[in-house]
Amino acid sequence: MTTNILFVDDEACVLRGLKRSLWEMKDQWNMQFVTSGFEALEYMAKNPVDVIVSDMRMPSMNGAILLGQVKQQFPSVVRLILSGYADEEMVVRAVNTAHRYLSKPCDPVLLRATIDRTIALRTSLKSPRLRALVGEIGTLPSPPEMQQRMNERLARTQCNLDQVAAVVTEDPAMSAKVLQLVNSSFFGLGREVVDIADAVKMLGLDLLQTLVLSVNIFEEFQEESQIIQGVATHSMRTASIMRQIMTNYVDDSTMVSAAISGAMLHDVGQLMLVRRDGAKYREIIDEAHNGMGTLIELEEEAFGADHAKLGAYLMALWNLPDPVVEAVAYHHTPSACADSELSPLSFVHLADAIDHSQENIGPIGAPLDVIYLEHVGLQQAVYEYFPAAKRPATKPHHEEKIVTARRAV
Amino acid sequence: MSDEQAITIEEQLAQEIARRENAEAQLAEATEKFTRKEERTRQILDTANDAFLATNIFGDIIEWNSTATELFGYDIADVGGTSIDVVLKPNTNSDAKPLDTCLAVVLNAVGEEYRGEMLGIHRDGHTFPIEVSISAMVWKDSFFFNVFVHDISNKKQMQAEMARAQKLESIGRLAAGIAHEINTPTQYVSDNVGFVQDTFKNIAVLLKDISPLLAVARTGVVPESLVKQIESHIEEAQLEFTLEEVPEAIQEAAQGVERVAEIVRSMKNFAHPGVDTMTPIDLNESIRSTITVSRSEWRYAAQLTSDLDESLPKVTCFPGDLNQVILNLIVNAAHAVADRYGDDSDQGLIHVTSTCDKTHAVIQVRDNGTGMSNEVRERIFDPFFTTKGVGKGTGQGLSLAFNVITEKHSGTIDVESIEGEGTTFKIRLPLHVDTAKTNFSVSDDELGATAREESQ
Repeated sequence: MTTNILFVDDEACVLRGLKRSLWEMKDQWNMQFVTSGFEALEYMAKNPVDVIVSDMRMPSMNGAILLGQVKQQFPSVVRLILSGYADEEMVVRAVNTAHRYLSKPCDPVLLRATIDRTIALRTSLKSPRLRALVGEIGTLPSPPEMQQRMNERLARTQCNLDQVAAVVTEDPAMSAKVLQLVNSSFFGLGREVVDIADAVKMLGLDLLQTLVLSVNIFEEFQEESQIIQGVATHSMRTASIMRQIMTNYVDDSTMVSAAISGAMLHDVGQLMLVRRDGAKYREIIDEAHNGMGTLIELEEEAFGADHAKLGAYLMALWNLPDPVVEAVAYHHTPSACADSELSPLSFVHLADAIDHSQENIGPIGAPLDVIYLEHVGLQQAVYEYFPAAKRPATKPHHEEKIVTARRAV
Repeated sequence: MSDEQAITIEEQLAQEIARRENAEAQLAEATEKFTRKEERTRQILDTANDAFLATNIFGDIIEWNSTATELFGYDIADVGGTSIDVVLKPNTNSDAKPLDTCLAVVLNAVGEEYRGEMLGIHRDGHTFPIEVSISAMVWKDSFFFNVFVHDISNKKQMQAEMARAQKLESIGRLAAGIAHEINTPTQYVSDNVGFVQDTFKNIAVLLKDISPLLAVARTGVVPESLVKQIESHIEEAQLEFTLEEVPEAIQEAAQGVERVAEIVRSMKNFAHPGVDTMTPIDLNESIRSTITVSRSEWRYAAQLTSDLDESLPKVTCFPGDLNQVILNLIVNAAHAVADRYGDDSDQGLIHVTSTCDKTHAVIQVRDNGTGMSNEVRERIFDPFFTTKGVGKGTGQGLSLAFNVITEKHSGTIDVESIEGEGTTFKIRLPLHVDTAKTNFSVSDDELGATAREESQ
């Protein structure tokens, strides 16, 4: 199946250069080249497009505005920026409309890999409806109390970066946003950033202020704040449980940071679903509590995908580092991940289950994968929290087993 | 009767004595009062923050307060009776000697008092910027001049620092734009070169077929296998496509490199590093360079056209400063146009021209932006005056432009504007410059040096 890719740049030379450097892809990609935002929208109204790659600074309609339009009119299209503009503020301003930000000059290999990766991602999410669901989301909701704290801190005259970092690290939505920014090729300089506090420091106070106050990442989202707050608190608890477990197993600080990011972000899919249809998601949660099904089943039924899958798709689109995306994608089903070594995913899976068993959150519908955890060497930790799991686990995937384990705690 | 008379005389005498005593006491009191008053006046003068000196009609110094001693390094004993021209001299804006200026006050030629900037001459020979206020006074049929001298070294230094800050600010903003201007051609240069590199691999395979083909061609019999091989190589190389695209790719790569080189050349031309004296330059070249380096400032807001008089003679100026002024005008024009038309760059117009008459070179920057009201227009050259939002302008650009053009170049800068229609700035620079006169310029470096010394 060919992928339709639309390139937009006001410099025809750049387009011809791209055309030549990507000419080997012409059998797999249907590439179109236009020189303005208006032409791009006109083209998209009549032709299918899967990925759009746009310049940032263009006369009449700049890239951020164009991608904003695309986000509204054609939400399922993957939106990339390819810009030579070296202004950090510009990157921050594009962060709600562009999934990825690539800097000019961009190595053709990197450009191709990026487009390939987004195409692979798209195929993982088959239904156009789901792609649109994800594509509509520029920003995730933060708990109102968190928004207020952030605004207050940024408004202070003697605001310091550590105080701001402290707020961001407690909020999954803001954490995801800052990781997205620093992992754009503009800031990342090829280095993957997995630590949330590091990301905040790389951005610095001025850009964070722009992000929160001008770009308005909060978007005044007030619905279902209880669920949003719930996700934030559960993620925080998961991260803190995990941190404790990890001290016995891991020294590598990058892995610890990636795991903490994974724990903070593992339920961003739930935030997406709240964002999409808060009332409906509230119903689903209530139904899960009333035993009408597991959360995953009900999500699948109502939205076409569960929160793990949706969250991972968005985090991958935002170019978050692989270990973090994997932790989000497979936090219910770690065995499904191609990587079966001890990884951030392993800890997120375990810590998530522990928090679910300690707090009455309702049936998720994914059991603790004891065999997987034994395989990666975390059996001691599993037995400590779930003594019932210690008995020969012949059918670890069976729901009842976990229910027993939970009762034991 | 005689007794009475005698008494009367005695009484009169006594009265007289009393009156005299009284008068003496009054006189003593008055004298004391006067002395006290004089002392107080003296004290006021001595504790004044400004230096005070008085001269007679010939300009010879007869009064000198202690602040003057501090400022100039001379005691009244050193300068009493010497001419005021020993401690004051005109700055470059004026040829008039301080004494002449004093006389002009008397003749009422410059009003009842004079207030203006001059240079002070310290005992050790160094000069420093001062503000001088001169008034004439007639006392006991003689003329005196009262001169107050206010040291403005700090103010001047601050001005120079503001100018430097403004320059840095605009260079910082330019840097982001220039990076964009360079990154764009770099993108297509590397794409095109990469393309040529890839396609050449296939072309090389084909080229290698030539020798065996030539060899068999000489025998007159070409084996079918060789023909098949060449046909398949031709197909792999997509020969038609390659032959069409490669020359274009090379040409565009070369164009891109030329564009980068042009930007770098313009940057050098714009900043004129190392040139801080008056130099004869090609004004048009300067204007073109400034337009090039500021491209990303105006390109997304307006079409910029220029009409430059190629017969313009070389103009002697401070090239870096002048370019900075032209840049400020172009950036302002772009902002005015963007404020009027938003992102619609088709409607915004900026037109830059150069012409000359017998005495002056004239640069005009015209835009069809928002224009300005009379109230705004009257204040635009004032320092810190800005209509731009916080963070967009410091209000230094035009005030700096005014200083550079009028003070450093003895030129003029004028503005015409119609609210809602547009604005035209017109700079006139004298073609013939008396360089001796213009070498006053307190250069940034000098001031920097003073600042450094002071901070040590």
